[in-house]
Amino acid sequence: MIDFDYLATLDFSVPWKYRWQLLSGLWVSFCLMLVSSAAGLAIGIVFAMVSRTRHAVIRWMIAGYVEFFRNTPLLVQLIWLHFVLPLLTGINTTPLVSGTLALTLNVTAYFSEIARAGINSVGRGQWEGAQALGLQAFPTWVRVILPQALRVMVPPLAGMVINIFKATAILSILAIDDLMRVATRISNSAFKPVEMITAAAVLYLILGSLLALGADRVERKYGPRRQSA
Amino acid sequence: MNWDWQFTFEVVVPRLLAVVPVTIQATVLSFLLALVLGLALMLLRISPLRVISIPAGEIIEFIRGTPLLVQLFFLFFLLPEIGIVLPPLTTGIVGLGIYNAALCAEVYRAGILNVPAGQWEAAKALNLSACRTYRDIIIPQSLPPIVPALGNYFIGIFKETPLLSFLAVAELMHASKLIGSEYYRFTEAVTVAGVFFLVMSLAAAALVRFAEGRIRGRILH
Repeated sequence: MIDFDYLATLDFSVPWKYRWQLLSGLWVSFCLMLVSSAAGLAIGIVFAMVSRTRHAVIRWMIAGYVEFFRNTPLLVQLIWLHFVLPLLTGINTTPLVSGTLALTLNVTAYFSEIARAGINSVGRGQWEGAQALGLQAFPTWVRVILPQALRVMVPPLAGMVINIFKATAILSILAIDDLMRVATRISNSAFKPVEMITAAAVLYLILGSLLALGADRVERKYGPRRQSA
Repeated sequence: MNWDWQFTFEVVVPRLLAVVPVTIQATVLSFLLALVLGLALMLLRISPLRVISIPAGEIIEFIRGTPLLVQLFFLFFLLPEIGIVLPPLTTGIVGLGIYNAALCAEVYRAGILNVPAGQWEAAKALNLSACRTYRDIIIPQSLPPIVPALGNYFIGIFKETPLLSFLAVAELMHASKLIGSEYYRFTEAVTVAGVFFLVMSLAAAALVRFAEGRIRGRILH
């Protein structure tokens, strides 16, 4: 039988007592999300641009990178990067560095796919128009193609950013003091796992919802223009 | 650091192969649970009674808005306290199933809302029962966008199974960490586990594409 009496004994004064630690963990999670998203988006767009090249080798390399990082679990990439790379190369990375690096490499693959779809959605006429006006490659990208592609990319990007925020919880295994690790650490010493994990879940939900709200506003302002009926 | 092929083939590969069934089992059972539970959640979500649909929507949002790892830990610690003692693998399957059920519920809902209102009205005008309306009119038309999305979630679940290693489920990642700490050789153990995941994930993707083609063929004919 389910013992509902236990629920009455939950003591949420414990997470409240450690609220500042939890909030600092939330801040670390948020920063990890911000850094990985920004770096991943920038590199992802460059990858999507470069993969339009005529050189098949470069195209294959980028496709291989994307497929590799999209088809293996983030946890495996994280552990591989943290434990195996130092053994192979002799470069020792701190948990924070390897965690951020693994997350960034992972999300770059997804961002590059989003960017590719966005760039592909720009009509051929735009390319031809840019050529007809005698624009060089750089202004064609920066002034014609990317502004239109970014508009299409906004909705999937917004979803991706929220996913990245949730994925930062996995980085807690490398002893990075993010929200998840702070919560599990305190629960280990205070013997209140259910309360601490619940508090962490609520904090993730609150910041995640705020991100979703922000994403919605950005989408309305900069997203794809809807045809007015 | 040198790579030891003998160690790789005599220790790592056999021991990882031995736990591949656990990973597959966790993936398939979680996926089935997610499909069924997602359907139930979606039906609650589209209920005309707001007393039901609003809490259902909140529950879906809560599950979608928190990390899977948090939910797994939550179940892992909470269930024994309220008197439900499950083996770690079952807890993991339940956790993965619930998380993905919320995602599936939204996919189903999008598929059903995608069916034009005229189809509902026509079914009503023809005096079809609710059961026949769903079976013959609504579900066949809502499947085309649903099926590929569910296929992606299947692969997604597969890639989420290493998180079960935190619950001490003896799956691929757990086994590779164990080998690593037993022999002090992480390089081979983790790399081979990664290769296993890559190969199985590509195979799953091929399987999903094949199934999609079959299902689409059956809907259209």
